[in-house]
Parts: sequence; structure tokens; C-alpha cells
Amino acid sequence: MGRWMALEGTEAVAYAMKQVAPDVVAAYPITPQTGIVQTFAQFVADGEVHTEFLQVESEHSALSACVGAAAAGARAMTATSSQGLALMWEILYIAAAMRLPIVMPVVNRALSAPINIHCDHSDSMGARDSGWIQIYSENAQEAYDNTIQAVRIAEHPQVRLPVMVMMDGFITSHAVERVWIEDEDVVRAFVGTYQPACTLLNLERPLTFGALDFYDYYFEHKRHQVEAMRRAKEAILEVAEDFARRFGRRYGLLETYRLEDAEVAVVVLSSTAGTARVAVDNLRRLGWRVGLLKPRVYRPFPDLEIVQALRHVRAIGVMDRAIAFGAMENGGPLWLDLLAAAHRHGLHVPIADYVFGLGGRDITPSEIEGIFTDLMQIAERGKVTRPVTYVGVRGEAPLPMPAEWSLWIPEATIAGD
Amino acid sequence: MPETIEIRWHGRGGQGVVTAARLLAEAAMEAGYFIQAFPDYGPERSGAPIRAFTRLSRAPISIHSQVQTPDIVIVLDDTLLGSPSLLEGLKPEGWLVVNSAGSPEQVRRRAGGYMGRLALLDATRIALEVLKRNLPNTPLLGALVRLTGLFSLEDLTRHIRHHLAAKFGEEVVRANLEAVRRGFEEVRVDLGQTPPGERPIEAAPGGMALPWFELPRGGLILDAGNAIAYRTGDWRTFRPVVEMEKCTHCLYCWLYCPDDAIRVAGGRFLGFDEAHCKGCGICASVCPPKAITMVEESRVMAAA
Repeated sequence: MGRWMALEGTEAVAYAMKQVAPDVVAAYPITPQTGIVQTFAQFVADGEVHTEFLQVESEHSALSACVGAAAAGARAMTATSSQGLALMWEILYIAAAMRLPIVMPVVNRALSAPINIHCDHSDSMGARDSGWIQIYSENAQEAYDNTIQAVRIAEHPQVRLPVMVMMDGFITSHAVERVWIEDEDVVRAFVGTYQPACTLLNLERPLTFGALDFYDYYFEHKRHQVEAMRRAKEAILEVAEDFARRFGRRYGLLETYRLEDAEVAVVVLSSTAGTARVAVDNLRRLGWRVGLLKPRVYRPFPDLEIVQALRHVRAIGVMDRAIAFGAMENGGPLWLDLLAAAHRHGLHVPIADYVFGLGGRDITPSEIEGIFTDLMQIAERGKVTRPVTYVGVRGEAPLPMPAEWSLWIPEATIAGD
Repeated sequence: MPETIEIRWHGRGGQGVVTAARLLAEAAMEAGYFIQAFPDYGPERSGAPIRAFTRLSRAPISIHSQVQTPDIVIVLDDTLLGSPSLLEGLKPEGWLVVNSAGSPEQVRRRAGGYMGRLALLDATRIALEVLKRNLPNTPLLGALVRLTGLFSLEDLTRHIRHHLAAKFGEEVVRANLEAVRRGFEEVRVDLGQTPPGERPIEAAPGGMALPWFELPRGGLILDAGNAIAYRTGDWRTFRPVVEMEKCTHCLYCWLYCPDDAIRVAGGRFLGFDEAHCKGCGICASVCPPKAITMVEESRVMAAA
């Protein structure tokens, strides 16, 4: 039997790591990930887990050490945030391309400059094409559950890719919540003993890792990575199914809330999905048919699954906690992906982007109600007039508030057509 | 000559293949052509087979592919003649230009029975005599000017003088110009038989074309020690030759050889592993009794 514990998000992840008991953890502390490394290091120091804990001199070294350990056949983990993830950059691609099943909790934090320690998704969104699987967690419980599942997903024989497990910096990482912590032996049984497909340390079967690979082979190996990413969707669901069977908590590629009969929907990752639930409930009480979709898995992107879940709505608002600078309309990555998915799967509804919460700026239910109000107007018009809104930025035109909706008359009606 | 001329250069690292491709293009530019010259770099070191390409045209060049159907294939090192991809895509009316001391019959035989237009130049001998180094590229440039008539020998010498004078003294410039002149004069032409309208020479069937799903994932190499299958001995332009009566079996050569290509048994020097010796010459330079000398590979092959 597990137990309820009052834990910060980082502590919950450190518990997950202790229970997984990886062979090697190499990490460098950085706010707001520090709690993970600090708590886990304490577990190691107290003899609660027998992991080779490497205190390295940088994140570049942290992930490099994990690459070495994983190639040697060890189950390896690290954790980082923001500038730390940025410093890992070249090794991210190496870990993915060498098909090393490293698991890395990432506590989302804004990137400098200006220097900022608070939450946005600029760090992990920048790594979205690096070949890592990306799972976003809404709260401490999900961060704990996702970290445990990530081990099985990464090591899945059909996948063998590294996995990032995201949680929102401070909002989740430093908030104490009630978390159900499973018994260690049950978690250990769930993740099982790591059976590396190949290892540097097998003297009976010596191998070369990371050899030179020019135009005659490189592309084929990239194609191989594509296949792994493709198969990952099924593996993620398979692992989630087993997780639900053992622990009773059910996960998918995405989660919906009051979406079945919704006219308009918001799509948002991580902790803001929880806040958006409150906004949905508030508006539902007023009789508005609004709903929510929270992608749990962002890479591989569940394009068809998301489009299928949204097929009946009249307008979609994507909430992005990052800007893809210079991309179409300077919108966010989630919006761009969703537009592409809608085009690909024949979904013809207006889709607007709401960039919010950069550098940790708070987002409230009433602001999300404003987004829903805007979406109602968009649904009525049948088109997006402002493709990207920077929510709450001083100097930008504000979003309408729900009270204005009952008085609102579409411009088209005013014009008489 | 057609509006666009495409040239593929084959040689070994250190022979000036890339420089030759570039020099020809630059000289052509000064003669009014649009040009392109680019190398095909591998991981190879000195002596390894490398390729380069030159495109010359009266019209602007927009293509950025490698040369698929060359008008001219130039071989700077005749030890490459057996390579199956050497003549790939060569147009029926195209030229095979080879740096060789051999006869047309010998060269045709070693090039897999090639029947088309052939031009031969003993560029290595000219280079060794005039430049004192195995740099066959300069004499071959002279030969090319003669064969193609793209521009005059004066155009080429003016450009080479300009190119070299910035870095080298008058003596080096003069030697290179002499090498070009001799290449122009000494090139031997053997027209062979070129049935009109025949298609370009087809590629030899490739041996490594595994589909992606049959490759080990992550670029893993599963067979250990497979470097032994890589015959780096083919890269050699000079080979070590030992005078056994001088050898003291001190095994300095064995100690210093970067490729483990010294054969030793019972503490005694036995000879060289010719499949893997790249001809770097380190053994010759460290040998205390000077029992090892480096001899030009093509001379050895010609003698054999």
C-alpha cells in the first residue's frame, strides 16, 4: 500500500527516482530543479538508494555522463531546467540519436535574457525537435507518475529513446501538494530490471558506439529514429495501460475536460490546464458550452488524436507558454503544431493562439475566461481576426470579459450582411 | 565542346585533387566562364581516395548536385584504375585522363577494358623532376588545356603565376609553370572506339545498400575490430622497402607504426602488412640503421 505525502513537485520526482533506483544519476543543480537533485542526493547519502550519483561540473557534463553510462548499459537519469537544458543542447541530439533510454525530469523555466527563474516553456519547447519524447505534467502527482512511466517508455524495445518529463517551475516544482506515493517494491516491479539491448561493457560482444556516419548511412539512421518516435505513441499507451492496472491512475496521450459537447475549447499544457478547468466550470455555470484539452504527450505529437477530440468544436484557442520567434505570426509552438494537424486531418475551424505566462507571469481563471469569451466571438464570426494574443501584456489590446458576451454583436451584423 | 563541361577528379589525399579542381575553375573564370569547383570530402587522410568536381559553363550554373555524367574523368593516381566507380556516368564522347607511365593498352586493361577516348600523361614523373614532389595536378592542368581547348595555355599560366606568386617565391612559380608547359606538350592521346549515341557508363552494382530497417539502430557497429577489413593499404602512394641486411631487429618501426602494419614474430622484424600500411614513412624516418626507404608506389606497381 502506498501513502499520501505532502510533497513539493521536485520532491515527488525525487521519490520517483529513488523508487526507480537508476544505476547512475549525473546532475547539476539549477533553480527550480534543485529540489530534485538535493532530495535525491540526500536519499543516496542516507543509503536509501544505491545509485552511483555523479556531481558533475555542468549540465553538459551531466548529460554526457548519462550518455556514457547508458551506452555502458546502465539505467541513467538526470534533471535540469532552463539554462541547464540549453547547455545540454548538443548532447540532447546525441542521446536521442544513439538511442539511449535516458530519463530526464525538466522543471520548466524561462530562458535568459533577461534573467528569470520562473516558469515558461521556452526551455523544453526549444528541444522539441531534438528527438526526445516529451511528456508534460499538470501537478506533482502527474510528475511522479510520468517519471515512473518514462522509464518503461524509454526502455521499451520498440522505442529506445530518451524521455523528458516536464513540470512547471515553481508552480509545480515548489508547491506542496498531496501526492500518493506508491510502495517502493511495487514501483520497482513496475519498471523492472533494465535489460540493455547492447552495452559497451560486454567483453564477449564488443561494439562501436557513435562512429562516423556520412551521407551513405546517416539518413537511414535518422529514418530509424523516426520509426522509434512513431512507435512511441503505442508504447506510451501500453505503459499507461499497465500503470493503470497496477496503480489505478489512468493516462493517455491527452486528457479532455467537459469537451464532449463544447462549442469552443482551449488547448493547454501542464499546470495551466488545472487553472483552465476552473475557468471551464465557472463558464459552464453560466451555461456556456466550453471545454478543455490537455496534451500530455507533446513529442510524439498526438496530431490525429487531438484533432479527433476537437472535431465538433466551432473555435479552438491554443495557450502557449513560449514564443516561436519569427515563426508564423510569432505564435507559439503548440499553436503551430495544432494548425498543421488541423490542416493535415481536415479540421476547418478557426484556431487562435494565446501566448501567456512568460517569465512566470501568473495566469488566472478570469483571464482564461477572457480567452473563452474571445473564442465565442471567433466562433460566431467564423474566423480569427487576431491570430496571436499576448495575454495580459501591457500595451496590448485586452481580451473581452465574459460579462461582455451577452451584449456582444458580431461586426458582420452591424454592417448589415 | 558543349556549353557546359563537367569534370570529375579522382586522386588521393595530398595529391592536390581539390586544388586542381579549383585552379582549373579559376583559370576558366578569367577566360570568361561561369564556374563551380567543389570537393567530396570523406574522413580520409593522406593517400585515401578522394574526389572533386569542376563545372565550367558559358551560362550561369545553378545545379548543386555532384557531377553525375562527367565529360571528363581525371585520374591523378593510376592505382585507382581498378575502382569500379571510377568511370561511372562518363559520357560516351567523354575523356578519361590518367596520370600514368603505362601504355594505353595497359591503362585500358586496368580500367576494366575501357574503350573510349583516353589521354595519358606521366604527370608524376614531370612533378618529381620539376617540382621535386609528387604533385601531379599541375602538369595535368596543362594536359587538360591541350585536350579541351577551353582557354589558352597563356590564360592558365597567367592564372597559376597569379595564384602562386602570393605565397611562393619565383623559383616555385617557375617550376609550376614548367610543369604546366610539359603537361601541355607531353600528353598522349589514344582515341579508342566510341560508338556514337552510346549511353554513359553505368554504375557498378553497389554492395552496401542496406535499407534503414536492417541497420543497427543508433549507428551501432556490431562487429568488433572491423577496421581490419578496411584496406588502408590502398591509400599508399609510397611504400616502405627494407634492406634486410641492415635491419637490426630493434623494432623501432613496430613501436612507432600508427597502423600496426609491421609484421613481427619471435621478436624479429618480418616485413610490412601491405593491406594496411598507408605509406606514411614514419618507420623509415625512425629506423636507426636507415634500413627502410620509401619508394613510389606506382613505380612498384609498374614493375610488377
